[in-house]
Amino acid sequence: VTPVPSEIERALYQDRSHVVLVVEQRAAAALAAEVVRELRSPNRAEVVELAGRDTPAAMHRLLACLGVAGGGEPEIRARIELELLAKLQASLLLVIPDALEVDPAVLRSLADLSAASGNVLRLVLFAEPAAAGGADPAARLVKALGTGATKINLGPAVPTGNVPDDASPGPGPLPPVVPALGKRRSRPIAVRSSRSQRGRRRTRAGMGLAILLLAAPVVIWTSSGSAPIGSAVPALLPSLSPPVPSSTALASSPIPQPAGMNARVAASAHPFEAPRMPVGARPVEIGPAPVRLPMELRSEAAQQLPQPDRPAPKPSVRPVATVGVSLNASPFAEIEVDGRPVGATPIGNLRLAVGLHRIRATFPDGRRVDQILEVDRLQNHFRIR
Amino acid sequence: MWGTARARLAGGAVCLTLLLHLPAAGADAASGTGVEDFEAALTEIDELLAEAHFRTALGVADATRSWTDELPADPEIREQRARLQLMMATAQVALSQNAAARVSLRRALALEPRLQLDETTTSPKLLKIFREVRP
Repeated sequence: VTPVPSEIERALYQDRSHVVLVVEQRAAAALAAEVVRELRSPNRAEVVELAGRDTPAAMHRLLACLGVAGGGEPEIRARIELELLAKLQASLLLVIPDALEVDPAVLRSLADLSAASGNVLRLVLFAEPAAAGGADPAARLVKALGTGATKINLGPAVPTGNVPDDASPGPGPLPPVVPALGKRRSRPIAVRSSRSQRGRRRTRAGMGLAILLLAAPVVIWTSSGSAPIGSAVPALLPSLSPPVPSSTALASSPIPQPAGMNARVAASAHPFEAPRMPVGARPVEIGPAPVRLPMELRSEAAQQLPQPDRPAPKPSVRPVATVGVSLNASPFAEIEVDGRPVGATPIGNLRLAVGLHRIRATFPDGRRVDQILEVDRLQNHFRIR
Repeated sequence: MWGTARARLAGGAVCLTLLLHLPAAGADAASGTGVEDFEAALTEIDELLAEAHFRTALGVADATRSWTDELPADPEIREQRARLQLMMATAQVALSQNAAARVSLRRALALEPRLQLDETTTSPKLLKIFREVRP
């Protein structure tokens, strides 16, 4: 079994910040549900629809995921909210099943937001495999996301024992199996293979059927001698049915494989229907109600990951750049920065981290002014009006 | 929105104007036309304070004080000097230089003993020090 989800988790939280999963589009929905389910706790994961070519609309969608009402400049508000999430050591994972429908500029904006907020926002995108001789859609997505993204190919088949052996006589490709994450591994998802793979499998199944039909009388004759031929053939026929219905993506439960042929057929005919999530689904609220939860997933995921031979890389701690900020108001005002009172103006030596800050000024007459300051080394003197 | 590039440019332009303006102002003061230039310098310092450029305001105020020392001690100049000291105290309070602010406020009161601060519009930080130094 290929440890694909571990690979996803490692790519998301250790190597990079975003992943593009290359998988058949119709399987993407089920796999998205699986990713959301496995990565949801104690973090939040959202399946979002970001189809369209409007960056502000995408930012509004992101704000909605964060539980923030719209208004103002959505990109700046999204940056502020993500920076606040970073301060609270929380994060947001966006799962975008229909990523190819999203404008690359929107994806670039999301990646920029993620980078600006210290990778608080992580993206899981889905792309179909490249057609023969055609462009690779996943490469386009990775390019749009920049260096923080990587591609994980779920397309190539991985032979496993999950499908009855006698359904595929030859060593041909089988659907790849995507197990659940870490200790919670329970229900592998059989992802649909491509049409050409299905065609080859049908051809091989047909050939196997023909061979077995021809060989059946001989087998029956040699094993049971006088037994009537008609009673043995039906027992063989069900085993030749295709192992996985072609129209749906299935999650097969790990039922122990019985020894008998009929029992094996019965097991394969008992598919577990995975929680279906239509492509472009409405956002799904996962986990407890509070919006911002401490991000412990990283450490939890690290515990669940198989320990490699080499020592795990130490988490890098980036020093937060601060600058001295000056504020004044006329008349004077009591100032709060990011909800923290910092005193009355004039203020000439307030140390703030580079980035966006929410400022509230309360004037002597009770008037309040809320503003957003973008602080950097060149821009650190502000007049509140 | 504060702090736009335009505002930065404007702030830079103000500083540059002051730097270019001060030697000429000193020359004017020496020639006896210093009251208007003193007022112009005070306006510039006031704008720098409003824009929260406290260090720059303090530097310009120090320079202004040095060349206005040569001006005659008439009541108008005296009142301007008291305002200058008050502006210096404001910048010093902003920069947490409270000891220096006390000195500036004492000088202001020495120049203008009837000096009062509007308690409804003056920063409580400045008012507190003012009450400490007021006789």
